[in-house]
Amino acid sequence: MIIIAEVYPGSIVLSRFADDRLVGKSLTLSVDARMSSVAQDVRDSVSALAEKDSVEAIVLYSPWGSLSSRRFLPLDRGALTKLRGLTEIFPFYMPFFMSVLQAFEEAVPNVGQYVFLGNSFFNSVYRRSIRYAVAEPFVSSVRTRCQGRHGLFHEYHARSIKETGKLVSVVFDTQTTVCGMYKGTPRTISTGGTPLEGVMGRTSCGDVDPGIPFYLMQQGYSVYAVDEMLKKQSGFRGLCGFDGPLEELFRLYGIDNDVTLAVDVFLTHMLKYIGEAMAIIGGMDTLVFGGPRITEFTPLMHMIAARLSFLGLRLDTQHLAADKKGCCRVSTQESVIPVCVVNDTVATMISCFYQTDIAASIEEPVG
Amino acid sequence: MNILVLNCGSSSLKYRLIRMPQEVELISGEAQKVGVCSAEGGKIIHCAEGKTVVHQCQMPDHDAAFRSVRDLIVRSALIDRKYSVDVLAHRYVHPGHHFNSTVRIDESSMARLEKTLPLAPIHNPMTYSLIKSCSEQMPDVPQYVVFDTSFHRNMPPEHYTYALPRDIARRMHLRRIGFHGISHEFVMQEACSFLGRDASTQRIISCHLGTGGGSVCAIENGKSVYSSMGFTPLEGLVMNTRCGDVDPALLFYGMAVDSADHDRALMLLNKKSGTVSLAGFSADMREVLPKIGEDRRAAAAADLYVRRVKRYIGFYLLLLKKTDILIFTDTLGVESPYLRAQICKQMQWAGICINNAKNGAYDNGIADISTTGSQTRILVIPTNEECLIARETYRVAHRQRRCKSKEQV
Repeated sequence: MIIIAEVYPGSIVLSRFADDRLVGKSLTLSVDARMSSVAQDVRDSVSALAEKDSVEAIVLYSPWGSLSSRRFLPLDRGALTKLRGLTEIFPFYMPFFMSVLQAFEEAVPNVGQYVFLGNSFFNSVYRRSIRYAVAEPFVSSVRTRCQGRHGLFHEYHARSIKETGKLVSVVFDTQTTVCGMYKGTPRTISTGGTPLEGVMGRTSCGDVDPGIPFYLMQQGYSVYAVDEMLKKQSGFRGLCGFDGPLEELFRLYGIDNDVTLAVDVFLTHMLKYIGEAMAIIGGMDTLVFGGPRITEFTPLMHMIAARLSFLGLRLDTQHLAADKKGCCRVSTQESVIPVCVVNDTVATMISCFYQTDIAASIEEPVG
Repeated sequence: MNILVLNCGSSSLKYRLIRMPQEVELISGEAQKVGVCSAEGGKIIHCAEGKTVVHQCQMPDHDAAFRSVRDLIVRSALIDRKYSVDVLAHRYVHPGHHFNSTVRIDESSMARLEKTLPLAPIHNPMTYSLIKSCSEQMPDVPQYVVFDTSFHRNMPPEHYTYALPRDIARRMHLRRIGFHGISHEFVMQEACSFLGRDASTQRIISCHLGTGGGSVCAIENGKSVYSSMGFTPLEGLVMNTRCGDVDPALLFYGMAVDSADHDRALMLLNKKSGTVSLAGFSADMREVLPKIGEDRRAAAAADLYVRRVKRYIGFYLLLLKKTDILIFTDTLGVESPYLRAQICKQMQWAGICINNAKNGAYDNGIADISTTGSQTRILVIPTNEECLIARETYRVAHRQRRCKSKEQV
């Protein structure tokens, strides 16, 4: 039995898995900035989840960061030192994550712990191709290469599809990402050095002319105001002033002009990155949709498929795959390009990888 | 009417003296490597009377380049009066929202052009300064400005809109504008004429790959529907000293690391980034490509360059749904079979099949380098922006003259 702890800013979600299956319900711990009583809360939660069974391992998941293409890093001093190095890239999140690791070590010292960094998948991207053509001092920063996002999801999509020749994977989230893979290896990613680049998000601008931030500064906006504008006041919020759930927003497509424009801009961004992926990997054998907000984005999934219908791609409108768990084909038999939807939780995905990476090696007979 | 067209590129100054409306080219030439750090130094290739002469000279800026070019033209005019200059015409990169059609230069238009200088920090100040320099050196010759953005006027809103706060974007006119419109329009016309097709029925991807700047344009039924360049000429492909697409959040980070103000940061992205930042030894892709086998940084620069062009071609293939013609133009597009081959690699899924023998054997003029089975015709077309600028200038200048004569009558 293993426990998977998803560490998000301000909360930790704990789930118990036995033989690749979720047992019982997940627990959510709220964590304040001072980290008060976290170790005690962790101890209580782990005890509650484990009941009387012994815990084989705890996996702590960070949605951000990557150190090597190894998925599970045993939590030791060496790993901690390397993680500290990521603070420069994730100045707000990584110190918090490190504090959570410390709390787990204190709370359950006798259980093996692993760190799973969400973007380790992207370490295998051909680095020369994901650089930016920028001058010093930008070059000196580790950020001047694409870090990627949703690595866990994209890797899981590749694993879920049996024939992974040329795969284009889309993860719907507050900022949607697109990844082009060839034989399971990532070749293109839409997000950049930070999650701001790529497809527009709920409040973030996505791709924007690099001259625009400076033009705004020349017009009197401070660097902080521009930063805030691009990250928090743009995207769907900026284009249509709508602050509610995206599901409700998408219902206004074709009714409200601003919403229609915002969705069309989003779809244009999507075509840009799906097209890039196809150009680099040489076409597309399978298209996969997934991500934590797949249900919300189902109408957009249909719109994307409609815009790609000239490639012979046909969705089966009878399928409401977003409600189903696991991987499911949502295209018709006639569709030239199969389309699949993967709908699994983060914890399920990690548990699945744990079985192949860690559990399998433990069970190997010695000698 | 003899029109001297001056086309100020980021590292070049092309010029052509054209007799209109016959479109007879009297003099042509190009000042190369203007203001560029290069091992070889600058040169002017000057063609008149069927003779080509190469003048080696140092040209630290475009004013210096124009002085040398003017001297060459004046020398020709002294020999034969048919080389006299009646009208000067300039290509202007970024007029912002201040102009949307060709304009004659006067005090008022100069004041409005001055407001556009920050929009394209490499090009606009150079052309503006060149116009002033022409006014001083040739005060009696009327000057016209043709804008590089006009061809992209008809982009649909979902293509020109950035996902920025609506009110601020409207107030500050922040939208995708697109550049190299003159070149894209010219090669579109040439391609359709070459293939005997009607431009209003064609879906075209035009790759303008210059040694300075570059852009890829999606053209549907004779109109530009998307350009890789955006609000400024900084967005899109990797260019000689411009960064192209970059994560905007990195810019703030770079500013913090360098303690740079926005002017310095913008200068770095415009003048010290792109190919020169990747290759290290040169900003000119023509000098970088021969070194890719031995120099890791040169290979990285070429890789990223090709990858960015492919990004936009892949995107436009989905946007246009069916692509009839793929065009390569401007210096790199015409002179580098290697780049064309790399860009077309693994594009058979989209019906783009390059004939390697034809690609390697390309010499000059317009050529079809696709295989016979290729659904998309791949064409190499030398651009002639000056020809389109002369046509547009003649149209406007001629109309103004006629109006003036009518008033006098």
